[in-house]
Amino acid sequence: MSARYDAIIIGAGHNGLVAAAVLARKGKTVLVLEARDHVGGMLGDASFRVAPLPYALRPEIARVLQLDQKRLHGAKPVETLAFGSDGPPLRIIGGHVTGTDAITEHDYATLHARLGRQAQALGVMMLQSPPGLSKASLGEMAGLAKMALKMRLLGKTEMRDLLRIILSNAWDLLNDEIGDGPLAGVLAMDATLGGAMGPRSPGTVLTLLYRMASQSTHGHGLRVMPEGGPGALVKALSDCVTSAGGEIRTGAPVAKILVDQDKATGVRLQSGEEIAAATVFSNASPKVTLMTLLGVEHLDGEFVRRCRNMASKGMVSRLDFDVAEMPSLTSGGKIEHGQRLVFAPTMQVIETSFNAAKYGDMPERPVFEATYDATAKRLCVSAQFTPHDLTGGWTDEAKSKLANSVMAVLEEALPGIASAVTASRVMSPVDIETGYGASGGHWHHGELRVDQLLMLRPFDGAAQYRMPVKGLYLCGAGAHPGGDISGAPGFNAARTALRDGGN
Amino acid sequence: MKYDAIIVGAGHNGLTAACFMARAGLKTLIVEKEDHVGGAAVSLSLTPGWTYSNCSYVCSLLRPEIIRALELPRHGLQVIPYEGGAVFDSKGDYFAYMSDHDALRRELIRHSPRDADGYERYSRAVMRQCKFIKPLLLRTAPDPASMKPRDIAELLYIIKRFHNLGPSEMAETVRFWTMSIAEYLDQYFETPMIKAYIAGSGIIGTGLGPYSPGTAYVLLHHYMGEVDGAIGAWGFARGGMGSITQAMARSFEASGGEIRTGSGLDHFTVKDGKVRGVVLENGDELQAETIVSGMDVRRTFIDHTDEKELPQDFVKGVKRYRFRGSSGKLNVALDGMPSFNGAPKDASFLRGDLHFLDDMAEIERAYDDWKDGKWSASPYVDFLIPTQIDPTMAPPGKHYATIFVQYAPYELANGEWDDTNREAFAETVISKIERHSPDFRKLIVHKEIRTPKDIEDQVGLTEGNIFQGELTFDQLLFNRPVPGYAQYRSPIKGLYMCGSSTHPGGGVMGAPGANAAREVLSDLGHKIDMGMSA
Repeated sequence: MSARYDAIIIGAGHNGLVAAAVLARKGKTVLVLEARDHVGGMLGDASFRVAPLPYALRPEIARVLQLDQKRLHGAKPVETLAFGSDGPPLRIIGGHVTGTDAITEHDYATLHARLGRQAQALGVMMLQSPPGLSKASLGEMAGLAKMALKMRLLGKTEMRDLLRIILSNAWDLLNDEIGDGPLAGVLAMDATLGGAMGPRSPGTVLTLLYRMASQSTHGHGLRVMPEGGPGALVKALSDCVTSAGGEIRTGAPVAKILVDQDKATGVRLQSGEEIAAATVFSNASPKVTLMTLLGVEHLDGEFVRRCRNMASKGMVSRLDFDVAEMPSLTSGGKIEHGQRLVFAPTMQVIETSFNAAKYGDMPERPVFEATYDATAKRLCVSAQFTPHDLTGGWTDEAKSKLANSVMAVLEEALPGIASAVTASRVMSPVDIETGYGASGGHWHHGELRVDQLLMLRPFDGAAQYRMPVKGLYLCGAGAHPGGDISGAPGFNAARTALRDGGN
Repeated sequence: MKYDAIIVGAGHNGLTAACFMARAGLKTLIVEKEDHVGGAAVSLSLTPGWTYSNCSYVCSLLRPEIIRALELPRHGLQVIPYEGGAVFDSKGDYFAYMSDHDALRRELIRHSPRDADGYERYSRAVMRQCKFIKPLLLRTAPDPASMKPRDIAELLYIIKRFHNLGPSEMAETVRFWTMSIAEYLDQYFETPMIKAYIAGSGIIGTGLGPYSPGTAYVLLHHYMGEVDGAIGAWGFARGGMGSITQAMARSFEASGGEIRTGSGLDHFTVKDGKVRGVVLENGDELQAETIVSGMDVRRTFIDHTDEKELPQDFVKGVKRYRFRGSSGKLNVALDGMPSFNGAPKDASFLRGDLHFLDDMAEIERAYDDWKDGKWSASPYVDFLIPTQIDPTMAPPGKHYATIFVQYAPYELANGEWDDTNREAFAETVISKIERHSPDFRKLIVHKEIRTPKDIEDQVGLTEGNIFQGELTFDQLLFNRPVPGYAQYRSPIKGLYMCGSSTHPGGGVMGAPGANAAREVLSDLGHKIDMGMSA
């Protein structure tokens, strides 16, 4: 055995890096082990990123880690172009939309602001460890109390409203407030992207609020491109780890978490090398962590059953198109570097595309968002709903069928784009699963639903970051509060371990 | 004429509320639009010799506290439990449900030994959920935004009950209340047919599919009932569902109450924010300072109340309230007992609810059709032949079949619910049944087709929703029907709601009616002993 570390972090995704940075800055000896040859996980592969258009790292975390927030949160917020069935796209930044009528503009701004306030009240829990169900510590209860207070402070009307819509579906809420169309389509995409729910599924208001709770200097609910692209965020985080004395090893896939007398003692790499550590953090999804890396022999039957039953069916595929010359929009003008294009003309279209995926079929017309990287001359597309368990499997034929159907939609808005494509790549949920330790290829390592949130994330008995084997912590998106680029699970997991260690 | 209280609508909830109020000594009148009482719990004869339960068709949810307090058995109510049920798949096999534990276990093992064990875990889990929710049914839901001592106390009561469940059961409860029925059942079962059999209870009457989160809870609305203390059991009201409301009407009249049928409401009269009485369609004016509406919230306040008398946010909330009818029904007079593929003649499980399904995806696809404004090409049917154990509903040797159909939209995307479409809808259902019961079609003597539109027109259930509004969380508990007005009172003083669009919602349960009566009596300063030990 080589040197003993205070903590080994499996996976250099952004949550793993955040956890490592928090620990290293507290003087712990930390080793991050990454299977791939790049750090950053889903953000990291510059040649084909799983997450090309991140949400903002929680500002609180950026502050604690003394990251340069000005650079991280970008020069200007990402503009969204929402493509309807015809006409020029709507242009949206946060609560501000142009290209529609004044009433809709106003209704949308009102709704966006209201959801923002409600999301902030719920967002109090983001950086809190979820309270335990059996015995909650005073600190944990304080988090809940703070959230309850924040909800009260919304005022009677808005609190009642929140309690009405919280388990409801985006379909009803958006139909009530702004009506169906490209604008509702964008919000419904926010509510459903990455999960296995359509806009009509109850629970999609909560996922919308989850996204709305993301924060940056530009406001809430925004995608934020760091200056220098997603790579800059990854670099800032890994620099933070190394400058605090932490080590990062890439190309070092972990085969097993070592356990002695129900206590994690280190890891064994696929190369056979064993590394000892007092604590082990896993940034992999709960299923991969527990079933593969740890092994069911260390778990009781009921626990295994819950883990297996965790909903984590990924439905997003990533497609990159290298485009020699980006054509003009049908409605005139060019798309600009960094813009986010959303092709979900109505909620109805999103729901219809979800229909097929429920039965393992590919939708005829996928809905997707895309971002244009002018420097690389690349259009990066995140398309849903493309089921992990596709009938017939993810063959090359299935992938090219998907690429063609995405291209057909793009062609409507950007005529001539198909012939300008010089190369294309498709990453299916299965590719994401095998490449990134995310079971089901699920962005969030598990559905963001009430039955898998807070003290139930990833599942009852495994919440609060501590796994049944002492010294093993879960620090990825499968842990509270969940997925997207927030850094919160890694941050909370590290703090939990520090408290356990008496810090 | 002046009354202490007027109840609008003689459905089972209106009758329940009226009974309790009359028993408290109030001079109480019920006005009913139709020429018979019963609302959606009626027995009607549409062809000589046969009686149809032509809306609701089975009985279990009616709270035993209410049956006892209103002495319904003494007034003629007899509930006959039925046992069994089955689902037939397209390959010619079936899964039979039997109330006999050992028989059921053998049948489960025939399909999958693992499911037999799963069933034990499943039934214990559901039973625990029933135990948790039951005491909440006959209590008024607290308003979480209110600071009133009563609301806070009630909220604490629920939190305490919840906490008493213990950690793992608390987690289980949260999951149960929010999960889809499909994922819930996936935890316990592997046989598609068995899951499909149970999943039906999660979607009956709703605008959701079995894959939609929130449907596991709906299951409870079909499981929390009991017949003669047998929890989760279902029965037929002897003589049809009308026997329930007939018994209630007799109980009401025995307490001195008065019923006027054929007396549709025109509007409520309101002065200075207080209700003063009603004006009937025939022009009659009746006075009362307490009026309880058994109609749904939209009918009560949008159709029959002057909007000027109501605060704007309330009107907005009422208009937003969702009905979304999703069910249709066929009532069929049969010349004899139909046979079913693979099932022994006179098999006991044929006396229960029969379904024709392969898996849950088939129900989900049926839901997808409904979302697109079409009736399901392969609908979920809940098919029962009550005359096997209640001979009063058909001539000797003949039978009556009640066929509940999920899903059918209130508005068709292409066309109207005209006779052509109604017949085509019925044909879809009949041909599906025929695949599993080859002689079914030729036994049909008479049939009644009820689309959501018919249910709305004939029963007064808006958009044909059988629960007077969707049972989704945004319309449950303190959200039902409108946040801030979930305690049976309305913004107009003296005007109350008691229909299924109030907590705890639909089903022939009587709880909304009983709860409303309790609130009314408490406002009038009556001692609140309704003879119920809740």
